[in-house]
Amino acid sequence: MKRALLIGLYACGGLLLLAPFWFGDRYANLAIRMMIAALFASAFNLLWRQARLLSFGHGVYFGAGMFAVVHLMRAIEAGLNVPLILAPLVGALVSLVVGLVFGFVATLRSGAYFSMITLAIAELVYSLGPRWQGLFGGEAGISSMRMPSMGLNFATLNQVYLIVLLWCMVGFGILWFFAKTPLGQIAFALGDNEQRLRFLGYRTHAVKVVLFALSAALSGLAGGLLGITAENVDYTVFGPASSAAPVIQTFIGGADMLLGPALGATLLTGFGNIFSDVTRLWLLYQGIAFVLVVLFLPGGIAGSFATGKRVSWGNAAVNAFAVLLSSCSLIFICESAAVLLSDAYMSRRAGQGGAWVDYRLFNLDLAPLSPLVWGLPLLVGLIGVALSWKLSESGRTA
Amino acid sequence: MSAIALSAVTKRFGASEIIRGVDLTVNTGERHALIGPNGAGKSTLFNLISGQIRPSSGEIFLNGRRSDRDAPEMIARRGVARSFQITSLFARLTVFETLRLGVMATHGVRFCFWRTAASRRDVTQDVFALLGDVNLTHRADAPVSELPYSEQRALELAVTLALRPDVILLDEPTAGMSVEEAAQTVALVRRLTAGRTLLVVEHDMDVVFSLCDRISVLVHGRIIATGTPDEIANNDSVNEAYLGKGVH
Repeated sequence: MKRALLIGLYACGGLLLLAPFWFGDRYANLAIRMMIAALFASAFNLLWRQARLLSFGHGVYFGAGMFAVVHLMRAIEAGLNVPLILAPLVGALVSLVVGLVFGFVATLRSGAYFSMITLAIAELVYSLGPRWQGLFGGEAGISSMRMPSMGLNFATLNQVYLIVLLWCMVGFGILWFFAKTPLGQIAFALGDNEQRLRFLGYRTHAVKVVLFALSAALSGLAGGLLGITAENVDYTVFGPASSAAPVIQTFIGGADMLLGPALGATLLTGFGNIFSDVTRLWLLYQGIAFVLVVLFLPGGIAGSFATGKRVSWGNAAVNAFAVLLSSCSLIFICESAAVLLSDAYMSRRAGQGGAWVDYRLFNLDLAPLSPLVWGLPLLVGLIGVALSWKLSESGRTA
Repeated sequence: MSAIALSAVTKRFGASEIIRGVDLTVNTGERHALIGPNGAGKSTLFNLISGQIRPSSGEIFLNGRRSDRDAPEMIARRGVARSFQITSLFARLTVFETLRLGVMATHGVRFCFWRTAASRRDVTQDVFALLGDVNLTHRADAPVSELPYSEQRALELAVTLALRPDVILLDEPTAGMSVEEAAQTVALVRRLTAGRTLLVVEHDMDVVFSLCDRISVLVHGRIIATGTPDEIANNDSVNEAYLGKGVH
């Protein structure tokens, strides 16, 4: 019975993974981006979870893989005979080499100094981007077309999704297996106590370089997958935003779990895709979520589920309700402020002689000076915060 | 040939000279204790021998080969293992995994990423043999951070021994233990270090006098006496400087 349930669960999971193949291009695109972000964040977290090395410059290795693959696709267009399915592997190999070189330098130091060196390397590459026309294609970047291979024409993203799915599974398989190998075990010990490990006869710098290179290679694999999906790339992929993304996703998802970063990346990419159509403040909400998770859920979302503490369904429901209330209030106030501070609203006011005219939000006509417009959301938000606070207080005394 | 030989070793930190021209010889196979009042430089001397810091001047030889310019991992691979005074193991690993790190090092399993650690049966067997030696078999799957203090010390000893060293440096193996625990640990050390060279820093005089063949006394960065326990106990300058006049 239990076994049948498990098989059913796996079958459902498998179907879910294959589903984007049959749906429209938009869903395939979203699914691809979720999987790529998940792989990238997990590759980044190989360094943090095991060796406690926090890289602020992983965009470099993601970008290196992406550029390598787009260059390769251009070569394929020109007549080189390489099936598209193998292209991401080239991205991984290029990033492996880049990671070995930069990793050797960065891992000479640990802790904050390591982070600073990775950041400096990322800045260096980012500033090199627009100047090195031949390699990075300048401001416009380089682009290419997917050529048919192995009986598939890859005209739609649904077929590309199959390649992404395959390589992501390979990538996650490597990450899962690596933690069990002797080197993976050594990496865990390195994160706990590097000095003690040296006295056991291990060359810790070499261990860190290998670990960094592996993490870079998997980031490059993720970048290569985005390369074949987007068919073009420019130097902004080396920018701070792409290095920050895996950090934020990892810590929201849960940095100490193997699949935590994947969870965070999937959620944030999914929400980002949905919300960036309706609001321009998505990055603000993501930032607030990041701060709140770091403050109140140090284990991340996955970590807080895995603490082994029993939480009653009632408490969980009340907490979810409290979070919902606060979120609604926060979103309402932020969106109102965004409207009232916009140029469009300013010019409408100027047209009415400077009066605080009504504004439209969520299909409502709202008066900016009405106490109800600001008071009600504030009250709702405070109720939410109070509920959540009360719950955690009673949890502490119990 | 001597296992450890120091000649005219000094160590300065800025203006202050912590070790002032130490000559020390530990013969192969002997149990040697290093004693001295607080701040005499015992731990510094340990760090110098194990390669954690480098001497300002002077030479250190391990098994006849000069070692004072080598990295700690190289000294460890040459068969010299040390334990730490403040227990410093790997908080996220279990007892079994911690000990396995030491055993893997002796089996030369380092940059292995094509098979799981669990698939090395020979390593696993050695780990359980060592766990049996220090009576921690029942604790194999416990996280190191949850062990009581005395068991952490036993594990620390086991990790040190996992390297199969011919020279063992123990930094206060019985620090913070009750009398019974200390006696157990001494018995353990005596049993497990048979036939190997041992250099031990220790405060507990009962432990020192019962365990060791020879004793060196370090005061203010200088070795003022070296000899058998009887010689040290009857040495006037040692009694004056360290043991206190009323001891014998």
